[in-house]
Amino acid sequence: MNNSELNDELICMYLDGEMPKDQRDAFEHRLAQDAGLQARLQRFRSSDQQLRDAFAVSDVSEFDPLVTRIKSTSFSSDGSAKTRSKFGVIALALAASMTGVMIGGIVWNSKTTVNESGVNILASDTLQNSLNQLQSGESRNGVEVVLSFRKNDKTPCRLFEVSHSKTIKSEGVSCRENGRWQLVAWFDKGSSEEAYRPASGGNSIIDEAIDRIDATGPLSLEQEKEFLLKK
Amino acid sequence: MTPFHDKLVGLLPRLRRFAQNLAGSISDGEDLLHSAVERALKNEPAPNELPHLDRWMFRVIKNLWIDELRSKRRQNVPLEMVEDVMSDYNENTEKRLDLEKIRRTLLGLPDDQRAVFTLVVLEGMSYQDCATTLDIPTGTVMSRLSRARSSIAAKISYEPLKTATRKT
Repeated sequence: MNNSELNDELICMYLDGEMPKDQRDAFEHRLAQDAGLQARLQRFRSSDQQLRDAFAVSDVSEFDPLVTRIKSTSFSSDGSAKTRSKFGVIALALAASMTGVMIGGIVWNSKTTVNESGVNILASDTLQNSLNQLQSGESRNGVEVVLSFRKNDKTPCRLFEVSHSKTIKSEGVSCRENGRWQLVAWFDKGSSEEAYRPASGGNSIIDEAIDRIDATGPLSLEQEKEFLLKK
Repeated sequence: MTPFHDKLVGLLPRLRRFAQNLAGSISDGEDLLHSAVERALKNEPAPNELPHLDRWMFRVIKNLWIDELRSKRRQNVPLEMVEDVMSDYNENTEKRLDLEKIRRTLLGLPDDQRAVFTLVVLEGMSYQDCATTLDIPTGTVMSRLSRARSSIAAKISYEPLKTATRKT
């Protein structure tokens, strides 16, 4: 192996375990004698590792909209990827309740303010526990409670935000009835650059839902503690 | 869930990384991934392809990206600043900026080099599998990978690996 053969492609082959044994032996023989080659190899190794660290994959988030999408398709009896109607949401909820994942009280009203993603996510114990335990402004496991209020019949309700990934968020409104948080409204904000909206505009689904349930003003932290189930 | 759906969910983080690296931005990558998942849900792979679902999905993503490139000239938008809302709250700003700089180094490479680097170095694919996934000759994988590594090594600071040095 001469100098001209010791190019970056060969170093790559060596690094990636793609070099045949006889060629690898010759390469290692040369490597032991050549400080420049050692330095180049180390530099490649170092930058590879830095890139692996920078692009390390995270675990699957149960709040990832794609997870919800895939799971909902797997519920479908014919395996097709049809988008569900609101009646499909009810069917999905019934299927979930039969398997022990109780959702209940899914459709607050006939408007399409509750979508499938929200229903699935609210069925998770993680979100139920977060809504039961977190004070406004606190966050855990990608769930942040924004504020609390009460319906005109004193039922506690909460506005919350769910981070599905680094950039994808959703907002939801939920009220607790029969010991479970029931979804009132859900809004997928999309990626972060789409999520920032002026306070005056934006999320009409959430605003309309809060208006519709005739909510009181935001509760203070002290008032909120009255319905939190701290463990 | 069926084995296909279960496996697809498990693959999402890797598929997302590949899609974002291929597209060069989080938002374009997310669009690409959504399209690929929809395509996979509508046209499930044959059972004998399930063991290699990752490669199958990489090919779907790659083909969709090529379709996208053909249909319109896309303007690459740099990857947004890392905004990890799920974790990293305890990471200091300097470290996050370093990570962001490293990420931008890869995303600054030409598309073809980025795809090869992601599959071989980040995914650990063999040159042959990478060539099959991207529909290119193995020699092209080697040359693109070599150029990618050379560019990256020239741009990011050298940090000797812990295993190669001894701290004094």
